Amino acid sequence: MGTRSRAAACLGAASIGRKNALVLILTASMLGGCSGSYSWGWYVVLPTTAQGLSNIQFLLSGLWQTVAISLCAVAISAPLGLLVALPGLARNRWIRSINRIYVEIIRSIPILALMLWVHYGLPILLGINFSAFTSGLITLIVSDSAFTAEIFRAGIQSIDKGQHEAAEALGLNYRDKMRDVIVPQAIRRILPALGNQFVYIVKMSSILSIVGVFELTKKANELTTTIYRPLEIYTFLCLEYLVLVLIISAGVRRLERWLTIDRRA
Amino acid sequence: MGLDFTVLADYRGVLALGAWWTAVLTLAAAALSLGAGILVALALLHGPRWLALPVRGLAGLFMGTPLLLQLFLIYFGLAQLGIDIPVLAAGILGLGLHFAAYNAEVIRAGIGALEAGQAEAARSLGLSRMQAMRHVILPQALRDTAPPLGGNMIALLKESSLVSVIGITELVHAAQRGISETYRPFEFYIAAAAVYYVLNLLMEAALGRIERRAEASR
Amino acid sequence: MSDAPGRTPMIEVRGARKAFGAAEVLRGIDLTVGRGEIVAIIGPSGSGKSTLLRAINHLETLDAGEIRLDGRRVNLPLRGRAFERHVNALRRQIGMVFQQFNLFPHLSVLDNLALAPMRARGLDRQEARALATTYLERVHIPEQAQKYPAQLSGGQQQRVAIARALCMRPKIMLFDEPTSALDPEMIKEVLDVMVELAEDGMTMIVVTHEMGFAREVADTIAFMDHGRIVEALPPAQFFTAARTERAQLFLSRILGH
Repeated sequence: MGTRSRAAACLGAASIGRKNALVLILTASMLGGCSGSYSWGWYVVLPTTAQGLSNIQFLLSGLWQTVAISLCAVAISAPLGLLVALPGLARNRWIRSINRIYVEIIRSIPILALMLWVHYGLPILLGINFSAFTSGLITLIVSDSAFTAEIFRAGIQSIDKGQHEAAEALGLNYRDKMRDVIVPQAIRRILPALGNQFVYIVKMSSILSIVGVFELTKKANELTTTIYRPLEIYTFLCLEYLVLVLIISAGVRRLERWLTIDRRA
Repeated sequence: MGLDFTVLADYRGVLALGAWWTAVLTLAAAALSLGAGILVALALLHGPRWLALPVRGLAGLFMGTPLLLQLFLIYFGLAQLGIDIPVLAAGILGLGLHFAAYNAEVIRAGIGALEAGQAEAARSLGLSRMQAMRHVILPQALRDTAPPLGGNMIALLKESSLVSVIGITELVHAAQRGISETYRPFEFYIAAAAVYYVLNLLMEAALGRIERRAEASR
Repeated sequence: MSDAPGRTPMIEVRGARKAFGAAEVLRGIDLTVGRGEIVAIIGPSGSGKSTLLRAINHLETLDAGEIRLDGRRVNLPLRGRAFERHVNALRRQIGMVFQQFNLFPHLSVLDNLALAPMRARGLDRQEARALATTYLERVHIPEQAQKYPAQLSGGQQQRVAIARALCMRPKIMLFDEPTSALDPEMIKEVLDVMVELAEDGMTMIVVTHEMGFAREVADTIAFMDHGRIVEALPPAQFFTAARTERAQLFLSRILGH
């Protein structure tokens, strides 16, 4: 796939600006408002009724799992991705192929298939059972690390050769050169792509509902089976993800601004 | 418990059918996502203002929420409204629109990256706005954005596995059926992964060809 | 400016004004170009030369004033569809050549030329290609027909751009600094083509820094400065007896080295 990256596919998601956020919310409520002949049952998620409030509480109780699993996954897969990226920058073909094989294979397997394999297949091979949370976490980490590795590799390669030469001329060894000179510069450049990838992970965590992690989507599915109101409940779920994604986008933009100021100083 | 891949032999028909439906879904959704992506990009760039706002909002919704959820909404949610669409159509619609939003973003950036001189030259020759877009601007924008668009299409291939949850017998669904009868998850998922890998390679080969042809006209 | 008696001039500009925000780029331009006349517009950068040219082709909209092409008004207070139709019809009669060539990189040289005749004039592919071949021969590069623009030199690209404009059989050709983006050794081949066009009787307005070309070929030299045409004279008079101080200063700078 070369330099083509999932980051390009996610382009735009994290670039939702504040003005756009308003448009999004408006559109969402507009879709909710155009009814036709259908009689909406918004009471199921109306906080003013006792039933509605308890439903909302039930739906929101999945938030913690979604946030925790996404954060854990990113916290582990970011350094792991860097670790995978480094051999990809080597001159030696064999070392480089370690990176290529890992990245190409992981990226060509759908996350759903990977998750089912980790949850139902791997325990047979290893003889240990994973909890749904652990399987989900492993899946997200493995998948994300491959994408993050590509982002890191592209970012590091985009740093001017002169920076490498200058660092080497100063007598820095490989580790110091990477840690103090190259990687910090690369991180600034790839921050938007990393932010998009984080958004992607949050959205992808919804599939963990399939193996039974009690995150946002699973809660919505459960509620839908007791009260048959999929349209209202899933619309509410959409809003939950939307808010999460907007918060992440805002955070990434903040971080970017902060880093740019730092660069000018 | 050792591995025994011979169990797959009995299910090769089911798996082949799954692979077939994955391919069909991917191609149909890819076509939809490109067509709709172009329309959305044009609406955002040149459409009337009253259209641009809701289109941008909708595209944001498709990018800001999980695909799985969009599939639920289209299949189960629309049914609740009394709109019953076949499950395959729901799958194609969900996948296609989700990636249309991403494609639109890429195509819009591609059009924006072209020099203003191209449009001016086309217009100064007396071509109408539409003709300039169709014969001069779009071909170049699509050529320049072939790599990221191709990346989107490969992501689409993989995420087509999600439609198994609304009951389309594509590859993952086929594998799950085999597993439920044999309880051999490891073998079946490995087989499914291998098929995805092959489909992926085919797609990359096709994309590589398209890109090389695009490159030649530079 | 020369104007055959009893005939309407090809281009008439009256009181043309244009501002970009606070910057006034055109401050009341009057210019008449007769049939077959060649006007060279010279002047320092930022004097409004390009804007005037672009306004004639309606790439810029004037704030005030009027422009007539062959007696018909160019800038009409139209909106929407009607504006679109009017502008398209008009542009088909005006050929324009840009500094940066603006060839379509995704089309072969032949298709660059054939596109507008096919789409805007409704010729079929065969007719359009035949027409394209004719004009490629006129600019002396018929052998490059199947190549793509990026495979040509700058001079060749600009000649293709001229041929592309000629394919619409325009009544007038506008050149916006056609040789400014070219390496010195390629300037001549482009100027030669323009001289041939002039000899064939094409009406031309040329924004240029090539004083040699202006002196040899132009019927009139219009000197622009700060959004006004300061002087408009036949070359022989202009180069020897420019009246205004600013024109003299400009000339001394340009001819000085």
